[in-house]
Amino acid sequence: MNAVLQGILLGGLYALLACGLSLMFGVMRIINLAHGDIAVIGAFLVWWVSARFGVPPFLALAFALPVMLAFGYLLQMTVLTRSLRAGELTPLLTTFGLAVVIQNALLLIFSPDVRSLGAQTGRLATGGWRVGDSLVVPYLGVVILGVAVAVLGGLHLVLSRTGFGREMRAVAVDPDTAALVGVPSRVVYARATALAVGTATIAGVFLAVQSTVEPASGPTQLIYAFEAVVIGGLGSLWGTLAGGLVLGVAQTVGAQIDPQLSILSGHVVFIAVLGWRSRA
Amino acid sequence: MSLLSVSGVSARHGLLTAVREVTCEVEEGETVALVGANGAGKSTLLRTLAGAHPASAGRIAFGGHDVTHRPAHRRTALGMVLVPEGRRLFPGLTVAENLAVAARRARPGPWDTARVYTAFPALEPLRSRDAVSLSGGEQQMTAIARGLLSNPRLLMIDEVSLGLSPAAVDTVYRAMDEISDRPTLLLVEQDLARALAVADRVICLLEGQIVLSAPSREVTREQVTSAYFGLRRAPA
Repeated sequence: MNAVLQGILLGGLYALLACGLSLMFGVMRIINLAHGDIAVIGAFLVWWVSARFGVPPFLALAFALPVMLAFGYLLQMTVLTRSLRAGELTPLLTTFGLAVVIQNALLLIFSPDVRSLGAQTGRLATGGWRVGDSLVVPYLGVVILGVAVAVLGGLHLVLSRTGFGREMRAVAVDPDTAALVGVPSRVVYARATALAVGTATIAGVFLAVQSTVEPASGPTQLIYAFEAVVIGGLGSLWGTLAGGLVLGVAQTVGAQIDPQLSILSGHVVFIAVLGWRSRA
Repeated sequence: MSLLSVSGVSARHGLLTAVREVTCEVEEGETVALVGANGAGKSTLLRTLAGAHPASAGRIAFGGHDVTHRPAHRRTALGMVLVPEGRRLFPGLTVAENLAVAARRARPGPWDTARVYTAFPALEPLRSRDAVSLSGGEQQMTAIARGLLSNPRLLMIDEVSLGLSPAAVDTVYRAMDEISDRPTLLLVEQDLARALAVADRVICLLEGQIVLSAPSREVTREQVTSAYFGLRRAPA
């Protein structure tokens, strides 16, 4: 019971990490191998702003978010647009290279030290509601799950209700025809990437509040995000939320059986879902 | 000056040259039908004019602007709009959403969503249907309505009647006929009789080249047919 609850709360973080990955794949068919590292950049940027100016992390996030949105926009306009032109597999190589560059740049600037934003957030990071004798519901887990639902719901609303979201869906299914009705796919792609980088930044900050980040944290986070996307079904935002929760529950229930099984049981569920999907 | 002026335009698919040094003019207000056998290069020519396919040689001028190297979305913004072959509505988007995508990027002009529904009353009850669930005729009307919403000065329609039932073809043409202040039209039409009936001028393509260009009143069906199959080169 406790394990399932903690798993659901952990799953919120995975869903938050995964939604940007899902968005970029859904709109541009780009599998962004640097997604985890971008989340880590976001965390480091917030950590730096917070430490440099002595502001609490969530205020620092308000400064970092526009910077990261602009970073995502420019990344698409410069590097990724060019790679897309060279074929479907090129962005995979490009983002792999980008991941290596990001990890080494972070190492150079911030040293390999482990950082956390937990201390600056105080009771939010450590406190919880006690329910009965054995159950503690951590504040942070609930906040993360709430933010994940809000971000995914917000993305869903943007895609289904706004003109900007409609253009994104039109470009996703048929970029050539979208150009014929006057929609520049390059600009729409850049906005999608900006959104994806923005959500990764939020996820990175919560990761740093909940545990720690270091320059090499990205690839592990990418794997969790990737597994959440695949478990939930490619291109579906609510599926991504469900995928994150399933992955979180698998990990905590696995840990209940044997602490060493935690990560492994998440991977096993992922492989099982993948096997079952490819059979159907 | 002509609205559209095409000089020496060629276009290829890999090693195959689909359009060879085509030169033609389209005047403001004209309706021009582009005819020719399968593989004659009609669709490639329209796609090249719209910017969906690169020209390998030549120059395309529209309303006094050289658009040869402009991307498709900027040609649309100038008023050169293509309704592509196969309609190409956005699947997963409703009829209303398909129209809204075009309306959001439209240049200023007489067409808006309300006017489109008045011109194509059959579309009104289909607004919230997924575009892929429509019949061929309904899809073609939606695609033409989407094209009109961009407020074109030149509307190019590829394969107006391909894959439609005869009744649907009638409906589409009747709807187009009833449109007041119609833009200049350049259509690809398989049905020769229909092409001669609606167009002021016919242009016949054979193996990527223009073999006939004449006012439709002045040509007979036989002349067009022989140009169509290349039996006898009619004077271009």
